[in-house]
Amino acid sequence: MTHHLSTSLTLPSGAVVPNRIAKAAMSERIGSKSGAPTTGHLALYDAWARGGAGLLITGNIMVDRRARAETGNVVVDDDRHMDALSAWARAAKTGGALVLAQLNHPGRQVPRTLSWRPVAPSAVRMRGVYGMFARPRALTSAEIETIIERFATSARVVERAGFHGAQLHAAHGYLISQFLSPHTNRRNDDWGGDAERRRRFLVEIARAVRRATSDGFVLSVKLNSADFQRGGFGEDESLTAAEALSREGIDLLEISGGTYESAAMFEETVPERESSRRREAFFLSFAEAVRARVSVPLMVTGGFRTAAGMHEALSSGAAQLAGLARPLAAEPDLPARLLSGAADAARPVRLATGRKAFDSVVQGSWHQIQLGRMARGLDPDLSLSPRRAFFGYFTPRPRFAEAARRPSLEASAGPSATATPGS
Amino acid sequence: MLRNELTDGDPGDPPARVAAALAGGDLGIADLTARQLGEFVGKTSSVLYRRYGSLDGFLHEVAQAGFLALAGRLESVADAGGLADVAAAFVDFGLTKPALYYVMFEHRFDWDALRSAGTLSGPMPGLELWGRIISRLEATGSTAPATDARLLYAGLHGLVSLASGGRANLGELATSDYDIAIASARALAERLIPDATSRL
Repeated sequence: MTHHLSTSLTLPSGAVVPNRIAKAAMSERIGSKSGAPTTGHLALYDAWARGGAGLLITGNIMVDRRARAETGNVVVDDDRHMDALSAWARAAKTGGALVLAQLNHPGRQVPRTLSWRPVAPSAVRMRGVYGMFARPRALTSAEIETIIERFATSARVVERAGFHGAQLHAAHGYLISQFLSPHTNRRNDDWGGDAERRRRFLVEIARAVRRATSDGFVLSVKLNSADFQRGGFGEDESLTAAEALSREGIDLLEISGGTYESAAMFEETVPERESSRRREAFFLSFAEAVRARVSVPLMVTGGFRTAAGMHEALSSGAAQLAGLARPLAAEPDLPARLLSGAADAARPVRLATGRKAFDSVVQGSWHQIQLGRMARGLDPDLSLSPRRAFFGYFTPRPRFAEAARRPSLEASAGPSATATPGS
Repeated sequence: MLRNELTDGDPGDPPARVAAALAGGDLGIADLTARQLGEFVGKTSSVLYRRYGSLDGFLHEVAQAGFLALAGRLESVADAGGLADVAAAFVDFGLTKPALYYVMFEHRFDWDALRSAGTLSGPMPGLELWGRIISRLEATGSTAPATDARLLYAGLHGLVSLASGGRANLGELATSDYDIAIASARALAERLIPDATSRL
């Protein structure tokens, strides 16, 4: 059963993923005010590095400090945090995993508490979550070019810091995703008007990153199968985008779906296919469609809970890597136990409050609290009740206070920093 | 579930989001209109009415979210401390989240209308903790534990109400209403249970 999971995977760039379980990106939100990694990152990634996953993808790193998706995001727009980034990369690599830094620009998807005037392909406001997001303004062509260069700069810096590669976050309604979607990209210029021009932003970023980094640098893209909005980015366009990315020579394509906006809608929900339920992975059917069109290695994240489910997905050839996220916030060593056969599934985490409407909030809050514990060097608390997690949602996130109390690694980094995680 | 990650957070169910905004001060009591709340969650007031039956139906869900959060707060305190800590945490919740507390404890719901519209669903979250308190009262010799628990409930609400109105100080103390209410909540718990500081 573990055969496929424990097999290594050689990516087109030549980099080797030692096994087929990947830790997908989860936003850590523990960066310092200036956007530096902290000792919390070292503690987290030390735990995950020892946890056995073959690939670790960091939480989203912002490429522009003026555009942060959340408080506590790490920002890499120059080399000012090089020592701290290097310490982070070292901590993540200690278990032999391949480590990718996920690079992101939120575009319009910035809470108004962080920006009153975010930027986007077009001035299309978020629907359904007006209270959280301000109306964006449309980027100029010159600004678009600048952002492309920012992605390249960030990639160059993370490579120098020791990360094996980068993942471009082109999913979940962030800026690249906004360019891809006809719902949010109403432009009629070089950057919009038809599918090819809408995906040009992504393609140009991929090319700029390739130019800015060495031949062995791993380039991954996280792409939505669809954003589940009327008039939005659909599966046909996503398949065409996957083909375009394959032609650009990317190493790994991660399949995901949805946006902040569609996730928050009252009436609209993502159609959950019976096949997805049966096979665990939400996006496996789409991965099969992608596999029929391109040969780039695919990673599918979302829904996996058992070794059998992952094994089936890998055996079918639809995916080459099985991505786990939330299960690793509760059990950081789950990959090692799955690979050794000591476990055959993630421990079920039942987080029902008795009021279904509140359960998605509890899910997010519960796992975020576990990440916070791990960042402080503590084990996850699986006994944390849903009600206590729900209260966590009501506790205003200290803007940067918590991160400020945590040593930021900015002044000095290195082995001594890893010795005092989360203090 | 759309996304299996924490990458993007979850904006949350509209009543939970409104409750959190009331708790965090992003919305106030003056914003409790269908138009304002609809704008906050990005829907017209008619959508709110269609989904929740009425403004009261929506606010009742907001209150339920508040009770669930309060239960979570009190549970975490109860797991580490005694009844005095729980009492103080209740008052702290009320005084630091006044707009949410207002919806939970002071808004005048049209209960008959909610009941007939079928929008009352399930018991108030957090009743289990009151069960624990009643058990402790019984174990420590209370002859009317349910009545004592209700007195505690009423007393704590009274302290929140007095302190939030600036009327907790009877003139004998040179300290803030918040501090008076917290100290009084602890004292009330200690009157009811001799070992109010030991773990519940």
